[in-house]
Parts: sequence; structure tokens; C-alpha cells
Amino acid sequence: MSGPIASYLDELDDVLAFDPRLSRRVRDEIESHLCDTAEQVGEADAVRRFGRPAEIARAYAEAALPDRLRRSCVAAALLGGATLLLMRLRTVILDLPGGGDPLTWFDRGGLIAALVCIGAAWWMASRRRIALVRRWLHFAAGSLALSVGASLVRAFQGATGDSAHALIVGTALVELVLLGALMAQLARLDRYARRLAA
Amino acid sequence: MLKGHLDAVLLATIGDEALHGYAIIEAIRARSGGHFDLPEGTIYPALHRLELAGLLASRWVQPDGGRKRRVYALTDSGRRSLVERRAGWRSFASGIDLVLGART
Repeated sequence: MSGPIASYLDELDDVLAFDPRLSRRVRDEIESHLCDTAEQVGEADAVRRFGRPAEIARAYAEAALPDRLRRSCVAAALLGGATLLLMRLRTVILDLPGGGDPLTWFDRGGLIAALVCIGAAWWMASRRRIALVRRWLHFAAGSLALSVGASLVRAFQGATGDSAHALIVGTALVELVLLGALMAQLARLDRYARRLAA
Repeated sequence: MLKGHLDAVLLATIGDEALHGYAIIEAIRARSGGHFDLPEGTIYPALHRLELAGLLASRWVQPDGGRKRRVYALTDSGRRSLVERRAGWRSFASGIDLVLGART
């Protein structure tokens, strides 16, 4: 395909690059619409009537923002919950001491800080304060990473035997996957915010 | 003027049918007697927003020999929302009628 519609769709792809999945969906749908319109008024008018790609991209970013904020907060909440559960699981099964050493402090303090940050992010998301949601979720991700790291080091220090090490590695993998998912959500949210600010 | 009512207009236009974006725009134009000639690019992000909100569901259809299109239909939640919006609009419109009528 070449001509005004193809050029328009390429331009739309560029401005929707902040969300490749959305970009694919939008391209197919809008191509179909433009071809329908072009049959009535020609390609150039079809494209002109549709509007500027940058404005369309911004409208899509605004439309998807509540869902994007919710997904980011859910990812953070899942990671927070999993961190709490897996930390307790390791502590109980490996019978780790609950002393006041620095690792325990980082482990528990990081988790508490993260849960507070996640709560603040939910509250800000309900008010659509994007910049503050991002900031609180980044704090939460950092605190959770600190908590997970301290918890794992603490577990390795107190663990003996293959089964104990397998438990630690298994739970660590779950936490790392969830942390990666949260970081991916935050990266996507950042791209949306940049599109809206453009 | 339509901005605050676009969601209700879209839900009402789709109604009990499954329509693609082009057909929705044409239906709005026809039903409004040409009063609402919406910028076409504004409709698709609004449809996407309503879908993410769970008020619409969409799927691709391709009739034999025809073009592939994404069609939208109301979900149960969308139908309930439409009923509420219609009631809200009637109440609002009757209030406006009373106020404006009192001044003539």
C-alpha cells in the first residue's frame, strides 16, 4: 500500500510507539476506517478528516491511562503481597531468627515502606495524579527490591541443606519475575506519561 | 457541546447491534440529522476507553470478500450504564426545559 493512507498510518505508528500492542491494534482498525472513507471522498480527504496523528495518539494515551494506572498499581500490590508471603514462608520453614540485625531491618522496613508507597500510589491513581503515581510506584519498587534482597541474603545465611537452598531460589525466582513485571509496567506508564506531556 | 455526552451517544448508537467505527460515525451523523458531524479521529479513542472500562466488547469480523473490521457491542455493564445515562439525561433535559421555558 502506498499513498496518503499509508503515509498517515506510518506516522501514526511513530506517535503510538509508546505502546506497540496498542499501535498494532489502532493501525489495523484505522486503516479499515480510512479505506471506507476513501471510497467516498478519496484518500487525501479521508486522512484530513481523521485528524492529526499526534492528536489521535494523545487521545489514545488519555483513554488508556486509567487502565494503565490500575495495572501498575495491581502489579505493585501483587509484588508487595508476594514479598510478604514468601518472606514469611522462608522465615517459618527455615526457622530464621527474628533478631534486630540490619538485614532484618532492611527486610521488614523495606516491605513496610513499599506497602505505604503502594497505598499512596492507589490514592493518587484514583485522583489521576500521574506524576505522583509514578513517583510512589518507583519508591515502592525500590523498597521492594531492597526488602527482597535483604530477605534472600538473610535466608541464605540461615539456610542449611539442598532443600533449603531450593526453597530460597524458587521463592527468589517468583519475586524476581514479579519485580520484572512491575518494572515493565512502570516503563510503559513512563512512556504514556511522556506521550501525554508531548 | 457534545464532549460531555460522547460516551452516552456512543453507547446509545451501538445499542443492541454490533457496529464498527465507521458505521457508528455514520449512524450518529444520520440519527442527529447531520447536527453531530464528529471529527472521526475522536471516536476510536473513545471506543477504546469504553472498552477498557468494560462497557463495550470488541472483536474482529471479516465478511466473505469484505474488509476486516473491529466491531463493538455493549456488555451487560454497558447496557446498565446506558439505562442510567438515559435517565440522567432525561432528568437534566427536563430541568433545562423548565428553566429555559420559564424565561420565555
